[in-house]
Amino acid sequence: MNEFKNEAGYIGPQFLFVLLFLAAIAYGTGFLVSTTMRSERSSREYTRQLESIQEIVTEVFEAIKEDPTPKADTPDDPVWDLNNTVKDGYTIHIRSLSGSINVNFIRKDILDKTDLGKMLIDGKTPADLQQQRYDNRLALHPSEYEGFFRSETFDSSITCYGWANINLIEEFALERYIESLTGSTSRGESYHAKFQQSLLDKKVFTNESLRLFFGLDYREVYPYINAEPQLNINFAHEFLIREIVGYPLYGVENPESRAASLIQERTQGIDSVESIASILGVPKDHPLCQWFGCVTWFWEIFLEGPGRKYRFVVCRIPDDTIETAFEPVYHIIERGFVP
Amino acid sequence: MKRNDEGITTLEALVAMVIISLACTLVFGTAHVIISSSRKTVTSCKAISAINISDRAMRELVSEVRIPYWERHAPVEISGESIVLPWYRGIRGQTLAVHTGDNSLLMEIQLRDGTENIMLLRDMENISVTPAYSESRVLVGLEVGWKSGTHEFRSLLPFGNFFPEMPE
Repeated sequence: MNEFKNEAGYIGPQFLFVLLFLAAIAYGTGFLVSTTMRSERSSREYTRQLESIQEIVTEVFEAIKEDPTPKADTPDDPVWDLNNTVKDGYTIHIRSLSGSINVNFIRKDILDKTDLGKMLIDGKTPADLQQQRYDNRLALHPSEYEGFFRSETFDSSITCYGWANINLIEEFALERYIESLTGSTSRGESYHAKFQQSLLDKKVFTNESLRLFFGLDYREVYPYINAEPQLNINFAHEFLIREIVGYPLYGVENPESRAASLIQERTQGIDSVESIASILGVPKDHPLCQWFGCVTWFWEIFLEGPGRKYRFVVCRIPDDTIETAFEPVYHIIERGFVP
Repeated sequence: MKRNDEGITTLEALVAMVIISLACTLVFGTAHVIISSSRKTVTSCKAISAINISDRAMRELVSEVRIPYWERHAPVEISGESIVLPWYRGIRGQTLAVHTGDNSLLMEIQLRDGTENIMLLRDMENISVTPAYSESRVLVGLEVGWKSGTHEFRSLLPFGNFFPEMPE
């Protein structure tokens, strides 16, 4: 009987149908499984990468917060133990941005009368910089000043991060800054005019007098504008220290040797503005103490991984309250992959 | 042996044909149902995979918008089906524009040295993009929504910057 059926071809077509049917199911299932697995694998890898980055970010952030000496940030602080270490394939690079001058705010005069002006490229003057800032407003990225500053200053001496010290900020920059903070052009102009009068009076602001100066707007502009020392002496570039101390208007006697002493002393870690004033031989209310302090206000951290670079920026919020229990507040203000 | 010699009757042939056609209909019908449903699943899987990739790409592109910590009133242009965000990669003049329309979502990156267009969603219904604000009414990202088949998606895409919370 079987022999007969095979010869007559009854089984052949049915068998082909079944085969076709099974092949279709197998193809569909195979494709489904491979697509799902590929998507799942890629998604899992991406999630793992983000989790790994998040862990490192948290570790660095906690290390910044766990500083046993929050009133003075020095290279001995715990966070610096993480610098140039490798975690989960990411190399950590930490930079204290408070070791660099904020070019959004620097005054024309100090660039004119010191070698700080040499940071500008040939053919550009401090007045050009002032005009650029007024026309194009403040920048977040130093590359916006590419046409003004020499490229070698970018990683060592200049930054666009930092709170503005009212005693150091340039008047036109102050106007633009207040406009950005308040969203009001008229308030920018009005504080500019008021500030010009303070400059004529050679007024040195403290956090208290700053409160009076801004009145009802104080909460909108503080702590973006404050009276805290701008640079952390423990991280400032030697060139910046020498030139700022040597600014003729500050009238420091033997500025070269004072600056050299400061550079020498900081190898042990300088931990107070009083120490800085004493080394410089100036009173604590001297303008140099508006420049040099011991606190890092902004950090930039890079996590350099295989083929990708992650960056985050941490800031410390200045505190104008006089409290014995001192606990600084930190925030991550930027984070993400960078090209 | 006798029946084979004599052949089959018309009735037997008809019954055999009916049985065969029923069997064929059954086999082809089932195969069609299975193949089309597996094709649907594959298409849906592909779509979900594409959506995952698009979502990740959108997330990374939007995270490259970095509004400075002092710029609390950043100008964002919203017009019809487009949103233009300044401060792409932290540079004021560089923008990231998000265009929706024709059931697609296109991101246009305007850099200092040129423009780049990236199509991120296509053939999706009800695509919407709206600015996302924090509790203190500060712009913190974009909210994107779209529909694919019966599925609705909603994604919050944060910027790469966070405005620090200041003490009261």
